[in-house]
Amino acid sequence: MTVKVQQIDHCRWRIPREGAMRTEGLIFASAKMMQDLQREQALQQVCNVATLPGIVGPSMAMPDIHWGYGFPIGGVAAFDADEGVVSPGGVGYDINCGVRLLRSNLEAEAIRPQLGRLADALFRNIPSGVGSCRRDFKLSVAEETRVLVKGAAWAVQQGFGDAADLERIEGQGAIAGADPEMVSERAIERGRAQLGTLGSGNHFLEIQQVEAIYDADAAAVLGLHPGHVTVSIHTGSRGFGYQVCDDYLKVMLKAARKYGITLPDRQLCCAPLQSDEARNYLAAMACAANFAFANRQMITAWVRETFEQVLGKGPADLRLGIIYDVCHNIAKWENHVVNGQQRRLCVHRKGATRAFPPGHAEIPAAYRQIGQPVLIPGDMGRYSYVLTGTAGAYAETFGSTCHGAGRVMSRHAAKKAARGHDLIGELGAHGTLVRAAGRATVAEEMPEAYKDVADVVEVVQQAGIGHVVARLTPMAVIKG
Amino acid sequence: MGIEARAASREAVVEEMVQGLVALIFGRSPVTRRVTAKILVQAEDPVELLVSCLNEVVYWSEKDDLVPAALHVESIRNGELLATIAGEPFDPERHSIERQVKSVTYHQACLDKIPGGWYARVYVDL
Repeated sequence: MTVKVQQIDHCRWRIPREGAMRTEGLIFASAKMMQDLQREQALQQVCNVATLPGIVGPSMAMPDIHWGYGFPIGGVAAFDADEGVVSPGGVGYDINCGVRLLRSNLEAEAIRPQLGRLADALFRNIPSGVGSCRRDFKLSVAEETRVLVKGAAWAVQQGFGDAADLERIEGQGAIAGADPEMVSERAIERGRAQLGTLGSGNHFLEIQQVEAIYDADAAAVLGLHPGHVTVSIHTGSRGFGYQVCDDYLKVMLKAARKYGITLPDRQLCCAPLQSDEARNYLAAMACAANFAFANRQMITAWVRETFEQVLGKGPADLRLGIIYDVCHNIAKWENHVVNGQQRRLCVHRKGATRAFPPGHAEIPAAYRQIGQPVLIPGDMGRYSYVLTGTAGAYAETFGSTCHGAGRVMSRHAAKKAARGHDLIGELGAHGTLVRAAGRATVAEEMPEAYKDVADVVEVVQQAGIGHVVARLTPMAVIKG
Repeated sequence: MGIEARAASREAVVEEMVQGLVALIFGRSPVTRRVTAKILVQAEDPVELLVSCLNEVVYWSEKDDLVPAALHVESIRNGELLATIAGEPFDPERHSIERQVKSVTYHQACLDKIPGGWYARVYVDL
C-alpha cells in the first residue's frame, strides 16, 4: 500500500492526516530515502502511531527509519500526560538499547601492531554471542534487584568504573521510578545470566579512530582528537528487557480492550498514562533501562582492564574516559514547549536518540555549552558519527534525532547476499579486524545491509536536528 | 524475520510453527527428545495464544536444562493451550545456537482457518 506523502523541503516530508490518524506524520529523509521507503511498511507504521490517543505534535520518523514491530525504527512520538498513552511497542524489546563512547589518549597508529591481540583479548573478556557469560561474575536475585533500581551506580559501587563515569551518562545512568516489584520472575531469571554481556544481532564493541573533525571546538570539549583511539559499546538490557516488553505487551493488549483503544496493529497495544497498567509498565521499563546502564558500565570496566593488560599501560596513560552514553529505545517523561505552552509529555524514542540543545539542564555541565553528545553508529565497514543536540531538534522533534544507519536489507536478504563472500577477510583487507561468535551474525550485519550512515547524518544536519562534530572509522569489531 | 506454516489442524500448525522457531534458533543441531516439560499458556484469543506459546519456546531456548526439539499440543480450548515440550539439556559439543530471538511479536501475527486446514504466521524480533 502506498502512503501519500507531501514534500515540505529537501529533507522533510508530511503524511497528511487521514482516516483514524489524530495527527499528521513528519518524516526526515532525502528524496532517495523516500523513494526506498515507499517500498516498505515503515510509512504505514508512522500513520498507525498517529492514531494513538493523546499524541502531541506529529508522528515522526528520523532518516534512519525502517520497518519495525508496531512503531517504525527511527520513530518518535510524544503523548500528553493526561490524555495520552504509553506503548511498549514504542520502546521496543531491547529497552534502553544504547551506545556508549569512550575516548583515549592512544594514537591509532601506535596501537595498530597490537590490534589483533587487543581484539582477541576483548573478544575473550567481554561475553558476546548467545549464551555467553563471565565465569567470574555471578549475580544473586537480591543483587539484581539493586541493579534494577540503581543502574550504572550499582556497577560503580561494585568496582566497575569510577563515580565520575556517572556524570557522562544520560540521566546519570539511572531512570527514576524503577520498581522491581513490577518485574516478572522470568525477567529476573533471564537477566541474571546476562548482565555484563554484549549479546548478538546488531550489538557490537568497536575500537575506532577519530578520522575527521567537523567542529574543532566541540571535539575539543568532548576530548576527541584526530587519529586518536575511541571505543564504542552498543548493547542494551538483554533478555531482561525482552521479557519485560513481552510481559507488558500482554498486559497492554488487555488494557487496550479495557479502555476501548482501537489498535491498527496489535504490537501498538498501549494503556492510558494515568492507568495502573501504564504506571506499572513505566516502573518495569525503568528497571530494564537501569539494567542496560549497568550492563554498559560493566563492559566499560572490562574494556579498560583489557587495554591495560594488552598494552601494559595504566589508567592514567590510557585515559579511557566516557564521552557519553545514550539510550535509543526508551520512553521518558519530559517537559517541552508546544504551541507556546509548557507540556509534560511521555516521549517515546524507538531507534531514536535524545538530542538536547546547548544550555539544557539535563546535559552534563562539561558539555552544556556545546549540547548533548549524540552517538550514531554506522555499519562495521564504514564509519560512525558523533553529533551534538540542537535547538532545532528541541523545537521540532521533542529533542530527538537519528540513532544509526538503518537497515536497507532484511537479515534474510543480507545472508543471501553474503553467500560466497569471505566477509571477515574482506573487512580485514579494508583495515577492520572482526572477531565474531558466529558467521551468520556477520553476514546478517554486513555493511551493505545498512544505509550509508553519512547520508542519514547529512539529512539530520540539513534539517538542523543534529550538529556533526566528528567521524570515527572502525579498526576492530567484536560481534556476538 | 518471519515464520509461516500450514497444517491440517490448529494443533498441528502450532507444532509446525514451533519447529520453524527451533530451526531459527538452533539451526540444524540434532536434539533428542529425552526430557519433557508441560507448558500451559493463557490468552484472550487464538493469535495471542500462538504468540505466547512460541514465546514459551524462546524462554526455554535460553535455559541450559532443555534445548527444545519439538512441541506436542495436547489441547487448545477456552483460551488455554496445553502442550508438552520435548528436548534435552544443552550440550555445547552438539548444539549450536544460530541466533538469539528476542521475542516473537504480535506484528501481523495470524492463525487462520484456510481451505483444507490452518495457516499461521509470526514475525520474530532478532
